[in-house]
Amino acid sequence: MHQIPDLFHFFREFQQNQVLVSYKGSITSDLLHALHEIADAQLESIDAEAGMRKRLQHILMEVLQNLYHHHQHSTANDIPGSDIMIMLARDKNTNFFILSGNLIANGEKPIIESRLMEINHMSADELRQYHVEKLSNTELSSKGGAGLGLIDIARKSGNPLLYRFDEISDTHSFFTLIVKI
Amino acid sequence: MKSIEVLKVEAGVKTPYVLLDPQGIIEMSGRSVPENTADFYQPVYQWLDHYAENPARETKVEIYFEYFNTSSSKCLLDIFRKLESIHRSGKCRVSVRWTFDKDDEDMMETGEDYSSMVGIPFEITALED
Repeated sequence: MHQIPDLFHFFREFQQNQVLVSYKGSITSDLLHALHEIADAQLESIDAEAGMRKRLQHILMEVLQNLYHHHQHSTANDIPGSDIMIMLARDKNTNFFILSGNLIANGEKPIIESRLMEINHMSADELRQYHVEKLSNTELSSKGGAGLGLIDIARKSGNPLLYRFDEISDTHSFFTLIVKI
Repeated sequence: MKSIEVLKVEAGVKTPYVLLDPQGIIEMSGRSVPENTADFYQPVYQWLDHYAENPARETKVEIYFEYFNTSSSKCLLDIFRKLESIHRSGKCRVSVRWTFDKDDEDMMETGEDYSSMVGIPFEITALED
């Protein structure tokens, strides 16, 4: 039997976790900007402080564009359930969290993980220096990204980037990135 | 020589206001968050290459960004590099004024970083409310 989703269950979950925005689906340029606008309106409605709002907007844009660029060139798009997921939430201590998830090829896992570990080991000054070096020595990739997204996200967040990989098959995993702000 | 024209692009939802004036005035402001930044900045690069052939004696560059994404940051560096080579040619004195909202420490740091990467004089100014 086809199960109808229990909306009240999701409502309570979202309420408890102070979820401001949640989206699962495909990612296009228009959707990306629509999501960004929704997030901004939500932040306005909860009276988030202006500096925090700007920081969150910036990080959210980078996270969404990372998902977008990855999605454009991913081999995972052909397999069912290749949607992305994005969530903006708060905790009791007024920390914000931006969570993003997407399918990656298992071969990408070690590359992503080593980049994240490298970034997480750097101090704020080292990250700034690394950013300058990368910026002056890198060409824009064919994906349109400059490979600077994660460094920028880490700098703006001021916290280590949290992540996990959930293997869904021999070929693909679901990659979750958690940015605490 | 064919004279170079003013290039003016009004701000869009994802793209900045751009003014390129052969009298020696360059202005960019707003936000820059397109997915395909290279497409947007291509005409700017072309204009600068053309301008470099016969620049004004002095070029004043006004930059005031609210926000830009990382791939725009790369394009911005490419623009500054082109301006640097115009400056170094000795034909033209190029100077940049980088304005940021006074609470926007990140944008101030970004200006400082560009200033350290390219050899043109930068003035970094906070804009009061």
